[in-house]
Amino acid sequence: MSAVKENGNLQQGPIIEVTDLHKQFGPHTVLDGVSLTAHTGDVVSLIGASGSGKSTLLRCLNMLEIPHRGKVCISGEEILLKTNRHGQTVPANPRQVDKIRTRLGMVFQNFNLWPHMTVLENIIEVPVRILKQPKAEAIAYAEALLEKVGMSAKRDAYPGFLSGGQQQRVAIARALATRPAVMLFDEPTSALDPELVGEVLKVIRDLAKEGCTMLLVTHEMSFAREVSSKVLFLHKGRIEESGTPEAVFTAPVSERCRQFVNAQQWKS
Amino acid sequence: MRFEWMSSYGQFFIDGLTITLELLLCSGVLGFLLALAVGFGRLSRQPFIAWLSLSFTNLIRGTPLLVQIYVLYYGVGSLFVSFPAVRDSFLWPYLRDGFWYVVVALALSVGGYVGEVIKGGLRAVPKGELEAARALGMPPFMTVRRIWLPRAIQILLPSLAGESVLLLKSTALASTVAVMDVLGAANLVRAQTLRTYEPLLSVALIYLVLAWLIERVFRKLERRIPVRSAI
Repeated sequence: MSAVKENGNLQQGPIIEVTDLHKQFGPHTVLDGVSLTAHTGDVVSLIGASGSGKSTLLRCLNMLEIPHRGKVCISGEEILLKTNRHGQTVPANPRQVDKIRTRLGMVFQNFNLWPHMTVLENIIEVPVRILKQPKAEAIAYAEALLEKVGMSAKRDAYPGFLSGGQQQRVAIARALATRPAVMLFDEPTSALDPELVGEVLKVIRDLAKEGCTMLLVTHEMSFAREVSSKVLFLHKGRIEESGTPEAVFTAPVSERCRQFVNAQQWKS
Repeated sequence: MRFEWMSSYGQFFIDGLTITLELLLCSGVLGFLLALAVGFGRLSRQPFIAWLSLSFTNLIRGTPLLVQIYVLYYGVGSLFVSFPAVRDSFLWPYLRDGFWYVVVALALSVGGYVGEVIKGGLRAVPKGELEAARALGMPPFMTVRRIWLPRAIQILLPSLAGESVLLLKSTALASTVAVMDVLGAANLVRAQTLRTYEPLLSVALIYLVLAWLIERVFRKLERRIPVRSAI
């Protein structure tokens, strides 16, 4: 890696660099030595069957799950881990993790908007409270983001009164509000009614076109194929196949990946 | 029914009402703060803190409020009297008065009962909402202050309205330790006019109106943020 500056944005190395990640839930091994890198502008899709570890991998990037072993570097900054007195791996410096999290915009399967705040308040909360942006500036940017995701009209609505697709679009705007280096999408359309999937995918597609760096866990195979620059197929906590969408979807080397891709194509 | 005593004793009721409201407010605020500590304590991962909170809750909920008031007023109160240092201190005017004993007893009671309610409310906040806060870089304390607690209270508003009305009615016990709350005033009127029903029914009406007002305030708070859980 070269020319890494502390700021995190002005560097030429990979934005995300994961090395030999291991994670267990009790006796169950979820990640078994996963490595990946993503550069600015990459759209990396993680595909695989349920339980293959793809969501866990995504959640290890911002330490929502703490890996047992391995290294996570965001914009060249390694997230420092230590072992506490109970023998658990924990972040060595929680404030470092909080700081890095503001550079990773996360979008969840269940949107997870804060229902006691309006749409606008949801979006400006972190920029104003944590990044200490002036409120007027945060609101202006939030309004631009709402425009982008097509939710300007609902600026003062409470999340409980929005459809799932609308909530997810607001959640995307909320994640973008910190101007993150990378967007992390954890099955962003899995909780949506089928007729609402399209509007959310459209927003993500637009972001991809703009060159937004993103990691995407998804079951929408045709979408992954369309927007990704790289596709990773996970199986039993390992990366079984990786490459361009063309390579992974049309000529997978691994037998399991071939079966999975075929089965998915039958479904859609 | 005869109410002509009202003209000469009305002021007692007004003073009593003031005391009742002061009791309600003081013990409500102190009790709520204590309840927050107990609620979070119950969920603590530190075994000792969790145990301490649970023991406190059990102690408070397992004994009659009247007994607690007596223990504080007659027990602790008379203990203070035996120390000249306490008697001479600037705190003595407060320690002599039953008011603050009742406030402390009521606050402890609120801490025990509402602490358990708060614990339930904290648990009822969907994990994902807290996870979103963490994932976007919110430090733990801010997550509590901005997301976890406000959401829990929003969920709990109907229960808290009920608890507040219960607290209002509990303040009537103050009259048993010579605090001139609104019931104390009624007792005084009863003793001096030898009329039973009119003062008591007046007091009942006052409590009824206060309870209605409390419910109304909470209903307003509930409506301020339209509750409909996201998802």
